[in-house]
Amino acid sequence: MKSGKLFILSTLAFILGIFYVLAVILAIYLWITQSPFSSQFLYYFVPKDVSSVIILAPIGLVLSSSLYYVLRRDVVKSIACLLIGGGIGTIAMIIQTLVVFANIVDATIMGEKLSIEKITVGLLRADSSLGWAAFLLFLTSILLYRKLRNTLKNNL
Amino acid sequence: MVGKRYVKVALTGVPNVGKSVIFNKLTKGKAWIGNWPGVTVEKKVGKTEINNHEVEIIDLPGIYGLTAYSVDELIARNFIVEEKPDVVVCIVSAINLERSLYLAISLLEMGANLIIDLNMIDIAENEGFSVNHRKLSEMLGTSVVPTIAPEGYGIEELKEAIKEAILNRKINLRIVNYGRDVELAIEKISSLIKKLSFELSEKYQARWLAIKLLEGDEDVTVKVKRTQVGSIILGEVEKLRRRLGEKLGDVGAYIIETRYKRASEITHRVLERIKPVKITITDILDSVLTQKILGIPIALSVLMLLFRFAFEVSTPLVDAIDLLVNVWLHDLIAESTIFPRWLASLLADGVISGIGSVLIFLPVIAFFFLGFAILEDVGYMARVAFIVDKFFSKFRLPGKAIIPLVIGFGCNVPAVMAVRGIEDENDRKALALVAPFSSCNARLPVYLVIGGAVLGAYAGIAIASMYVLSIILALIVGLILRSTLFKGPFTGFIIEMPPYLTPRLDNIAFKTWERTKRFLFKAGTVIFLGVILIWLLSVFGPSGYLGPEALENAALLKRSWSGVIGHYLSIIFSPMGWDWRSSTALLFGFVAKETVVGVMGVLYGVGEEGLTNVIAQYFTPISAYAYMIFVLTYVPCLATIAMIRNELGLKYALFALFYEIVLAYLLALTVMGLGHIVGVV
Ligand SMILES: Nc1nc2c(ncn2[C@@H]2O[C@H](COP(=O)(O)OP(=O)(O)O)[C@@H](O)[C@H]2O)c(=O)[nH]1
Repeated sequence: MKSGKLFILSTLAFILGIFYVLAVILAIYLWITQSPFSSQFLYYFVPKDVSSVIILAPIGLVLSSSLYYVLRRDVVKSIACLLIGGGIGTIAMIIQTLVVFANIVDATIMGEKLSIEKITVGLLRADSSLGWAAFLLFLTSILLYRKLRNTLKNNL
Repeated sequence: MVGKRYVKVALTGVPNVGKSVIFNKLTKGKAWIGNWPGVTVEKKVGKTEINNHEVEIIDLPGIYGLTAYSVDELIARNFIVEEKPDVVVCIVSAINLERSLYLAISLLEMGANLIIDLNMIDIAENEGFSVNHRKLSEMLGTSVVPTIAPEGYGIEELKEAIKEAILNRKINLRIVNYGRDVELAIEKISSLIKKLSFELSEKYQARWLAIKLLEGDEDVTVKVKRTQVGSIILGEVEKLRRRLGEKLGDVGAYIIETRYKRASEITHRVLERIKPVKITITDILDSVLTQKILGIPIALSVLMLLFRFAFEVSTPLVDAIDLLVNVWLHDLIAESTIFPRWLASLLADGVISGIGSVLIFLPVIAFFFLGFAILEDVGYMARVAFIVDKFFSKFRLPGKAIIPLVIGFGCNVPAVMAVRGIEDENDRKALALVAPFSSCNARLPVYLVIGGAVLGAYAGIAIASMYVLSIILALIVGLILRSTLFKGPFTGFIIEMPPYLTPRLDNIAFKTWERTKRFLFKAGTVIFLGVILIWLLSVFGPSGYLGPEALENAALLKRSWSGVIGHYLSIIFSPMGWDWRSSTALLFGFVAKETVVGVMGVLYGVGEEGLTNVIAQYFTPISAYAYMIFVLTYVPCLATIAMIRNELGLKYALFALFYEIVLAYLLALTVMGLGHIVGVV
């Protein structure tokens, strides 16, 4: 199997992974120091519930590992990392979107005023914004997987 | 057989072969659930009609073999040998043939009138091989029906085969040849049994008894010993075993091995490769998912997503129910003038609140089960069990223990229910008793309020520590239970890793509904009754009827039975410095943890909103942390205790109640002690 495409894809995954890790580090840092979300970027990008790092950190880790495995010529694991990292990233994005949707419905039921601000924050935070990139990555890596599937086991 | 009205058909198979799907297809979902006599393993029975026979289909527990080792296997075996179902259908997985055939062979040896349902042939085909079912049928001497259960492919043929088997009973006792010496011994014992005991040879197949006796099977040995001629037979068995032992080593092991060899031989003869092996999606994904370094973080991420899905996406439903039942309906009744005041209060604050406090959990539970069923159906939960297996085995718990523990973070009631998936009886019992340590959804508000009010910046860490502590407690107490009360060998069952499958909507919907329904009825009734009891304890006091005002008036509530009990509790809790109000709240928390915060609000006379300020005056950081630990550890809730009773019986339910309270007290005391030593007061 030619690994040119895989290399490019894993490099992109690595970069995306770094962004996930960045979100995690910032979230933990802001939580520990209890500092305010001072800049626009921090305010919109970093999840305010620190438990989200348990979701985001592994995604970042797995996505970045893809490049590591390509460099070690382990095609199977590398594609696995793309599929899994991209897949979980996608699911996290879907669930985050559902949460935002649930909040809208909830506010309607409770007769509270809808806060556009809150919705924007919900849709822009790392789970969701990075999740779209993960989704694209996931779709592309499925194409690679299709090719790999036709490889015989013993040829690997 | 023909004239008989009720025909009994038993369904067996190793776990995950698709038995539930086939059961549902055969019975079209018409089933009822009971318990097997004497034990608390679920018994599912359904009805269908085949060729004018009313057929009762009994779903036996999923098992690997027919040893006397686990309850499930014993149940299945006793049912087959003692109740003698007319037909036994053994569901065999085309992708895990050898394992399945071992079970099928054991069934044949028992003298079952067997049919083989060869399921999952579609997956086998995808993986590049097929099972020659004609050859299999020839070798086993039974009919073999290939099926793809979820599509219903082959189900009509299966019914046809059952019909045929009802009319035409066939047995094949000699499916395994154990070699000359052992066969001679089997022959000797079985003719002895036939000669001496009408009782035994009437009830059991003599050959099967002989094999089991030589194998050293405990249950059979005890049963034979109880007969009048038991000692003669067992004497002969002992003699033969010794003689065979000199030649073969451990006779029991030899017999089991020979049976495995036969299963393996048949497997090799019937498996045919149709395409060269290609790498599958399962191979690819498992290369990372079952690996330790990445596998564990991934599992954490996925489980956390499951919780977000369950807790956060369900909020509108929770709030809607809250609004509808606890506010709207409650106020409607409470303020109505049709009823006398006490009745209105009983209905509103007792009955409606009771129903409300159950229903409010329903969305979270249903969402949780939905997500969980998907993970299970895809095949991911088996991987999670696999990666924690090694770590858990240090605590003498199987990897599968992760499943009830994870469910427990949602709600402890279904967590206790989920221990049924654990094969070993000792594991199962130990787990049912430790799963309630998982810090459930209802405990969180208590941590949030107390921690938030008293611990300030440390609240987050304190709350997180509750979750870590809950896992540590579960593992350590599990280890203690497994080494004392539920001793017995640690088996470390091999974890089946089925290939990943696209989840099936109907299967998931069914599982979710089934579990949610059970939660609703089992937990529902108990919580409901508990809330009413608490109402009664609050509107009555030693001085008589206080009236429903007590629920809103701290001074009155102090004079009610709840207040009085709380007062005595506060004496017990004095080392921790909790006053009568926080102690009374604990009493309410006994029924359902989420009431603790509400009750505190009433008792401190501030409502839930103002609570933070008041609590800060009554707790020191250390006594607050001790309170959180106590809430984590003492009795999960009445419904969980009821579920433990359901699974393990009253004795263990009371035991759970007792040891959890004692443990909670000791832990809280330890925290206070440590606090004093370190100097934080
Ligand atoms: N592709 C395929 N999937 C199946 C087949 N039979 C069962 N399954 C799936 O295998 C999983 C386990 O089935 P289940 O009935 O829960 O197993 P049980 O433990 O034996 O009751 C479910 O997701 C089923 O949908 C089959 O013949 N083909």
